Amino acid sequence: MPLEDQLLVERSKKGDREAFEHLVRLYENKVYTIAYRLMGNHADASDLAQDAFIKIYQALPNFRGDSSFSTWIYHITVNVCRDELRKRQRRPTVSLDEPAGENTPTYEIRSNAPGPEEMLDRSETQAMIQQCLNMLSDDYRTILVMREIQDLAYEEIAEHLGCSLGTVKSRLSRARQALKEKISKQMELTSPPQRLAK
Amino acid sequence: MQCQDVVNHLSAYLDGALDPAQREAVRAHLSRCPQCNTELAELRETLRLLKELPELAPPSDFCNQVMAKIDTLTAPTKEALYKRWLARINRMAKSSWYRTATVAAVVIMTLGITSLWEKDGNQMFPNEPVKPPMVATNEEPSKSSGGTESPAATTPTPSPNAGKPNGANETHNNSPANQSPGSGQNSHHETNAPQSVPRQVENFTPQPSQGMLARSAIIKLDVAEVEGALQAIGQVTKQGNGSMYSDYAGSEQGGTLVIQVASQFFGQTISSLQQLGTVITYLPTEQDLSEEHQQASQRLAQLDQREEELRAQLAKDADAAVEQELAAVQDSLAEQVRVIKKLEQRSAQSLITIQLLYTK
Repeated sequence: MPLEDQLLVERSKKGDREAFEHLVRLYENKVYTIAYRLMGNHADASDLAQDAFIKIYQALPNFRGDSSFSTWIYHITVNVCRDELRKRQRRPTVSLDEPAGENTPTYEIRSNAPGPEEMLDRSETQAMIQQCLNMLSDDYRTILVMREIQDLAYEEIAEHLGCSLGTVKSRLSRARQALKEKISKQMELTSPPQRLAK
Repeated sequence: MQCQDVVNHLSAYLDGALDPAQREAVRAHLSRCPQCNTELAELRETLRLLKELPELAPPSDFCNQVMAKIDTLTAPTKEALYKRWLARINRMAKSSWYRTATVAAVVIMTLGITSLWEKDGNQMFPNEPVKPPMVATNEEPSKSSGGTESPAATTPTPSPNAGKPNGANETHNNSPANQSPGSGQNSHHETNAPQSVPRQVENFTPQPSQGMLARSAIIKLDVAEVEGALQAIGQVTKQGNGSMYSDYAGSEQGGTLVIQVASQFFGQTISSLQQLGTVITYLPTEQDLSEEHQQASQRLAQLDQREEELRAQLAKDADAAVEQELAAVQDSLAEQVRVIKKLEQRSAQSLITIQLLYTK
């Protein structure tokens, strides 16, 4: 852990509000990005990234510096998002105002067409990749974010998810294949050759 | 290997996570199967696209919202400090010297207690206050001399003030008889705070605590051009005898960086920064460290004194328990020096978080 982080963490642990604010400013982009990639829309990402920071604040006394501070807070972020995704799986959000029979879950992550405010990614391709991520199962999306965006090693993923290395290997393989297929399909829908080259 | 097997292995192949035999088999297959080669290229491209997804910025009021929520939480500091203290105890309890010391303490206590049983049966809870001296002598068989000082000092009964009045003078007098009482597990002696004992730990002398402050600020600037502003910030940082604390994270549209400057240049640095653009927010903070620093310095003095006592005791006769306590005290001393140095560093250096925004 860099000395600077350590200093800010120590100060935050002692209840120094400003030090924690520095930490939030330093890491808000990364935490928000992870939440956005997992949740697929701005509103959820914003809420859950906030929840993550509050968890981080509360858990700070337990942070002993065994891992780097960044690794630790990204883990918490992923956990907060996974908990939310699990909760939603258990009870799909169905609005009471909706007419009976319209049983499709309403949260945006299932939506393949984000509104303009969801298009946080700069290029169309990037927005499309996120859209494809959104179409994957929660497990696949999570393992892809951990591996490709957080850049975690297989061992770290296994430890975090509480599964074997073999499971990580095979799930990651299937997740990557699934994403590849989604992207290929999307590219076929638009103008394929140029897109691939992009 | 069949095509399907190869496809299943491509992911691990790309990560270099196959064992040598599998990797060779996949490579051999790929050299003669164009279809699987296409699969590999597509998979590689997929991962590239995924990895190239940019870092995103949350809404501009994100941090404020987080802090507002945190402010509504109920006093986390106390709980935090308590948990930290518990964690430290736990860590200490895991160290080997502590285990040895614990075993020794249990043995000594057991000897002490059983020796009470052997006598009058009910000396565990004596009614008359005359008994404690005997208890003390029984409890600490290793003690070299203990006849002259206040008997209450080593009494196991919970009366923390019993030995206090003599405490401060004992070490100054430096008489051998007065250096023995710490050989047991009784830590009450350490609470005698000698304010004026000279400290000679690693030649470390804490700075004066008075007026010790930690200053920091958050400043949000709307600038005409981000790159130019960053260069100017570099200059300002140099002038403030400072350094980059956290590199710029952001784009030409805006981002955040943190600089660290010598505290005496704090005001100067802030006014220079304010000239780099339109100030949207400026949040300075000051935290008074003097009390914390003073407490830490006092604790250091106490430990210092304790160390001297233990050294003198060891010079007289070698005792494993004393050696262990000395090692523990020295550990605590080093830790205390670190704590004080950290406080002094916080006071000497100010952190400034700078948020740049380009709205034109």
